[in-house]
Amino acid sequence: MKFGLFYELSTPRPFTTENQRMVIENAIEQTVLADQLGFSSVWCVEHHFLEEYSHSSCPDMFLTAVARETKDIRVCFGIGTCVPAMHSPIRWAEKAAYLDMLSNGRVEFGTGRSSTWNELGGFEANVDDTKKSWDEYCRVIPKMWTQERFSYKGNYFSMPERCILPKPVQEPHPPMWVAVTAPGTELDAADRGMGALILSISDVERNVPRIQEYREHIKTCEPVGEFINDQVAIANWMYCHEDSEYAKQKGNELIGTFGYMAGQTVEISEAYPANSYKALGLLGSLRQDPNAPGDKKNPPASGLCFGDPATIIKTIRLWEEAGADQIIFMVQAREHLPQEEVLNSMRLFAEKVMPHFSEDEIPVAVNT
Amino acid sequence: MRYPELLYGCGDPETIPVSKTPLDVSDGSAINITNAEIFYTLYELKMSVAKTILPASLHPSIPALFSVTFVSGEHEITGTFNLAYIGIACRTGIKPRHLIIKSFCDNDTALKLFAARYGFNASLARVSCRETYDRVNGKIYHEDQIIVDISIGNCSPLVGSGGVVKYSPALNACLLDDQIKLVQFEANYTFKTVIRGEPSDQIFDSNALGHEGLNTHYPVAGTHAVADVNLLPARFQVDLVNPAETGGATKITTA
Repeated sequence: MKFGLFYELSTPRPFTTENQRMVIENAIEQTVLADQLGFSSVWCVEHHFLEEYSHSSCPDMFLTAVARETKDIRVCFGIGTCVPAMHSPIRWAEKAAYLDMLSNGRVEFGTGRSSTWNELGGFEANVDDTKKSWDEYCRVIPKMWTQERFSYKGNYFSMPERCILPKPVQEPHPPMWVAVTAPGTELDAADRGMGALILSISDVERNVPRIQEYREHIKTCEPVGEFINDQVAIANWMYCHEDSEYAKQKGNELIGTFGYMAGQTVEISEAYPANSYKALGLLGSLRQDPNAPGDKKNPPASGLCFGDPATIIKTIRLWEEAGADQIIFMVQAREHLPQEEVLNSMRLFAEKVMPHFSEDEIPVAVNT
Repeated sequence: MRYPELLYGCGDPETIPVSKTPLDVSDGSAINITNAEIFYTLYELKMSVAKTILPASLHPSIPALFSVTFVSGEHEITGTFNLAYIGIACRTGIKPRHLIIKSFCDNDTALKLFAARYGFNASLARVSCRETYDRVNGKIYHEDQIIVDISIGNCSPLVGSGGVVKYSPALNACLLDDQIKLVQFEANYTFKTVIRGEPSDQIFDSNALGHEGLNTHYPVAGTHAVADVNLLPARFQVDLVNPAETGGATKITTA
């Protein structure tokens, strides 16, 4: 089992220079510590116009800053949006390869299509076509990395022959992933030989069948790249503290903060009814009104990593049995926790939890 | 207590139209309308406009949006009716809703029923909704003048529409236990057909609607649905004045 960090770069109002810088600088400090502690990956989302929820409009820039401050940790797009109104696939191929150069071969490239009216509407994107453009992008980007010269005539993207530069460091190319929120997207990932980056609520039982189906489907996949990235990563929350009850209380506060921020966005299904967005994304599924007794409440997810080290070890064992290859943690929401608490939680996790899941089970040295 | 870091409405609650008919929650049964037609269009508007309309108890949606809804149907109590209402998208806490700022009904019996059961402050007016071979059109008249005339064109059917079309619950300002409250108007829908089209308008008289800042310059989408509608009894109320974090939505208690 590998462990990573996942960043939305949520930012508290008011959006002062100080607040915005604080979020980014704190996140980079966490990734530097994570690199020293043996975490394996840093993932960064791409979002636009999502006030408070995510100010991460340029994940490539954040990941570049991380790459230059760290040595080993992998820098992962979680995700790059594959919608023509927002990006050309050429630019994604270039940016990912460029970051692969700057990080000396540590890039992983996650793909997705956005699920909010804030974003798709803001770019005046064609909502009906995002799944189809995503599919086309997934197929052309690896070819841009691996073919000396590339040309293409497609439905959502075309280009005459050019040499797309630079080429990535990794041979044959960086691993490809798909963001999975709506049910069935894990199969889309598997059919294309791409890793499944599962971003839905961290409930183990609900994800077991998804992971099993993914494993079955990927056996017969037609990979879009030069190799199959048979990996399942689970986005999750983590707050580790010797006092388990305190940790759970802080964890609930983080989730409450996240839910509140997510509630400020407009899901596609609320604005622009489309067959391509039948299922509620992560944000919509979080929408429960805490003050409305009649609203259906979901039980707490079973796979959240809040507690003392022993509690978290048990939870991670469940994920291990479910078939997850890595868990990537959100450790902060809108700077709700003081930075030192976040860093201490990461240190304790690395000292007392990670050794139980390392291949050689050797405790990790921790600088406290 | 205010939460200055959050985005709140700052409209004067006194300017929100309030139904004079006290809400009657004694009848807990639902009203069923078979084959109702629902014509719904959604538009973006300036955040500054949304904030000046919404009271402090509501957060504007991000981006700011407003909707125009026509509901046409027939019920044994009312006969045939056409109801139209305009709502500003908002949230109480994290739940999306639309605050109704203006409503119209062409049937006096239906108007009284919707006032008593759901808090609508509708004006008696001519309202029409019509599906033609290439478009759906809704009109609202006021004193023999058309004040709203909107259409959707370039329509296409939505398949499996039950999982696709979502109407946020509406909020009406009305008297509940002698206090002004925002009461939720909600329904279950069993969709039979849904088409989606591009909204356009010939007339949208914002002055006649009482809000100059409203305009339809930036349409999002429009749908026309035929559905069996199950109008639920009023179940939730929202405070008009207190911020959502201290007021919020609460269940209406019946004596």
